[in-house]
Amino acid sequence: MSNEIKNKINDALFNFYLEADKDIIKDSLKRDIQNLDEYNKKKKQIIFLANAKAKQKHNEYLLALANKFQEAVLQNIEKPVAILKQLIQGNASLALYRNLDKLSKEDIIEIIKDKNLVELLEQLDDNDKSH
Amino acid sequence: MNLTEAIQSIDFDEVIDRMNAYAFSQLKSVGVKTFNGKEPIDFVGEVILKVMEGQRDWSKANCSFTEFLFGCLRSEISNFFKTNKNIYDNELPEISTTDQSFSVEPIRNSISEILKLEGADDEELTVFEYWADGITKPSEIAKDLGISVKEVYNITKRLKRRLPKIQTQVKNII
Repeated sequence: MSNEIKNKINDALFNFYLEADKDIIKDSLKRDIQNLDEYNKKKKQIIFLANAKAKQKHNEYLLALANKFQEAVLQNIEKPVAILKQLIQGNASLALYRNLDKLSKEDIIEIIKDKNLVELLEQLDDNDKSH
Repeated sequence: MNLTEAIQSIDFDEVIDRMNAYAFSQLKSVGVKTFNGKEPIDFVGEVILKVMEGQRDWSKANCSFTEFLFGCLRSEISNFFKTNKNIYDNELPEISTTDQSFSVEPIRNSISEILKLEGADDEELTVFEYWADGITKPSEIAKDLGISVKEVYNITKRLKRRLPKIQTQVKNII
């Protein structure tokens, strides 16, 4: 029972901080933080690092996908090749890449870079599992 | 939406402020100022990096990125208090999976009484009643009461300040 009551109060506080006006949050931070300069410096570092990590993760996905697609094209595996063709057909600016055999890793990266990489990777993994 | 897009979709600076304020409030609820010597902003930073490194998987989330980050923070804080249970005997609860209201009316009434004795006004008691009924979103409370969300924030602010004061008494009755 005690946990149930605590949960409700905690839910309410969670929602409060999630939804409260910016000004209310700023006021509460002003009260709690003793060295605002130091806090802002740390905040900037976190944002910088988060962006860098996100970009790194994105690049890792891109490279992993490009490798998988390139391998699939070389081995002429039906589903990945179909996915790649579909991506090229759906975008006029990618018309140059009609000849799949001649695609380099960089070309594939160019084709897939703006797509949902996680989804593409899952589609390829599903294909791997079914073979 | 990948992580880079997710970051761009929010005001990251502001979300970190929110997360930090939440972390502070959780620390206050157990009467300490740091996570074993770690400032809340450092704790928040570690949670964000866990998300960016994929230890907490955003790709499978079914909510906004801000809600996801907040959920991760809540879970990490809960884990921290669980791991350090010997230090913080009043550890924070796990993420609630139930939407049932308090089932034992006397306990609920006793907490209301304690709040009243500690000076809570009718508005605070009303908001507490909503929480007890499982309605915890300020926007929902505001809509139901026919007042602005800002008013609910202000009432919650007062109520929130009162909660640490009643903690010991509440612990004695539950």
